[in-house]
Amino acid sequence: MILVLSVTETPEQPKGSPPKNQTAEQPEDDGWGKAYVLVLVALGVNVFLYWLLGYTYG
Amino acid sequence: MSNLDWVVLAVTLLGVVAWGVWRTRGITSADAYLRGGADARWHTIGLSIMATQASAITFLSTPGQAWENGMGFVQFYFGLPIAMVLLSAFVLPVYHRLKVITAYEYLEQRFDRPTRQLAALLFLLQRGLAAGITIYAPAIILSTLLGWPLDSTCLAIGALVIFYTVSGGTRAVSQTQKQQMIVIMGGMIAALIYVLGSLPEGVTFAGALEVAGALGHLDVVDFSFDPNTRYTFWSGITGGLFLAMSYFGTDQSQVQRYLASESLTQSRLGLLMNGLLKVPMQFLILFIGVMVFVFYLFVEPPAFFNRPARDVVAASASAEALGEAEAAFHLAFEKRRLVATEHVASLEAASESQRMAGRERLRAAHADVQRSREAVKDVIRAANPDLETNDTDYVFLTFVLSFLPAGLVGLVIAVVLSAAMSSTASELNALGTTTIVDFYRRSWVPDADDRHYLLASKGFTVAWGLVAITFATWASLLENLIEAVNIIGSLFYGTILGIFLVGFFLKSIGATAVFRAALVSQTLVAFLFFTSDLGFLWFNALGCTFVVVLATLAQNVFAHSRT
Repeated sequence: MILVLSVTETPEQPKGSPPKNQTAEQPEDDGWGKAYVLVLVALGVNVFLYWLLGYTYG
Repeated sequence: MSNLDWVVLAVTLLGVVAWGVWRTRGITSADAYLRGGADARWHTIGLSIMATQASAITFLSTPGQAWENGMGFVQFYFGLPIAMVLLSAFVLPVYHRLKVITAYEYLEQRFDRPTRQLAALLFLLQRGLAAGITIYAPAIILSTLLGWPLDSTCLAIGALVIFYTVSGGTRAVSQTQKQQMIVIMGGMIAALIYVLGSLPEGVTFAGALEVAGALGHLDVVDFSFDPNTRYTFWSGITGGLFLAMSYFGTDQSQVQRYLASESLTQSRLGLLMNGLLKVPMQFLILFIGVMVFVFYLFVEPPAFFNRPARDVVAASASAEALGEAEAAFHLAFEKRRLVATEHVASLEAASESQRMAGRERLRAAHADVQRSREAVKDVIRAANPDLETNDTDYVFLTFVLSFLPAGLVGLVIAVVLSAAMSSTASELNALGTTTIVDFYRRSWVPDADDRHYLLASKGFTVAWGLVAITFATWASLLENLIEAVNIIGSLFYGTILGIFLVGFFLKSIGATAVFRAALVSQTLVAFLFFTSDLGFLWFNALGCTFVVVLATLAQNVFAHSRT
């Protein structure tokens, strides 16, 4: 059996469940929200520091 | 380059390759070759993702861009961390749940086989051409400045990459990229420290920032809405987000990096690591360019950095005109050097109004230098219109070769070649994998044994490597090749992203609607490309919008026709 077909029979996807229409889910509330906020806050801090550099010396 | 440089270069490059081959020896199954054992940790994935995106031209062009125009280019990356968050939240869980090897497998799960193979084909066309350029772009600059033969440089880079990519597959690519990224960051930080240490006596770090800022090189963030300004905060947040979503979410050369992980958690951490580090890394590379700019305020640079091109004109009938233009540049530089030295020396005792007056004098002197540099370019352009007068790609390497000590020069060249190899390896790995998984094993030879697929995977990787090397060695025959490949990429990226967006977010749309919408969208984009003057970056957004809108319309039409 080729691998592509075996994909439909993974433990997370029990036999009998329809393989089609695999769309994006709502993000689970499993603590990742804090990590995402950290990345976005870091971006904000970067942007602020770069703006401050230009404001001070530019 | 000195003997020490050659030793550093050879030990660094060959050491990384040997280590990667040794660590990944004994690959005996197609799945291990294609998935990399699915055991990579987040730091390997994060570095691998960063190494794939950072091509050699990044480290040659970006400092030169900062030298010429300042640091505004970093804004282009502001959308990337947001894209990493969105992909981690919405896309990675789907890929991991389906245990796909290529991104395009998802499309068959969601739609059907033709849609999957259409997207895979568009990827192969686009990335197949780009792989040649990833080799060619650094080779042309290294061969110009170091006198290396162009074809041999392309062949050496390509052969080394094919060797370890075929030897260890996806895992070898990730393992070598981890080491290559360490070499890259180590080399760039060493270069920055050396540039700062090379500033003339009396020029402090604060003084360097003062003169760079006075001449507009530290205006990093631009909040204006001027559409004629290429890099602003807003274009970075929107356009950069769009590009990062399509590149990291649908381009197999990136998708394969984070699908080599042992779990969804490790993939997410790897992507988020990229989201945290990418913007500061680009800032660092641009900052090196700004410090090189400050260095050249006090030490006379060449009026034109592409020395071999300048020498062609110096040996022609235009030699006298070139000499006069270069003499005028020399006088303008000396005047600016005096003004800059006085300005830095007077900073501590100067009042605010005196400081502002000093800045005005410096700006006026810098404008004179810019004008005299343009005059030199005009002479070169008039003498030989075929010569490229955009010389910013040569600025950083000229500085490295002229001023860095023996050993460090070899390390920086190793940085450039490591970046070329890491990007190319990801591309060849992804091209081979897509060919075998989405076409060969899916449709052409579906019932062979595992050993057959392992050998076929290696064969396709070699074949794509040979295509890339061949394209790289022929590239010099074509004009504006790099731009041409960027245009080709933009023509396909929008349609591919549109298919994935429909798949992920529009649950009611089926296979027939999206497939037809993709075909019509690609035709419309091609039609607009040939019949309008639209800038090519817009085709990314247009292709994506066409697919989403047309698929929605088509789905409704089919639904009505059935009822």
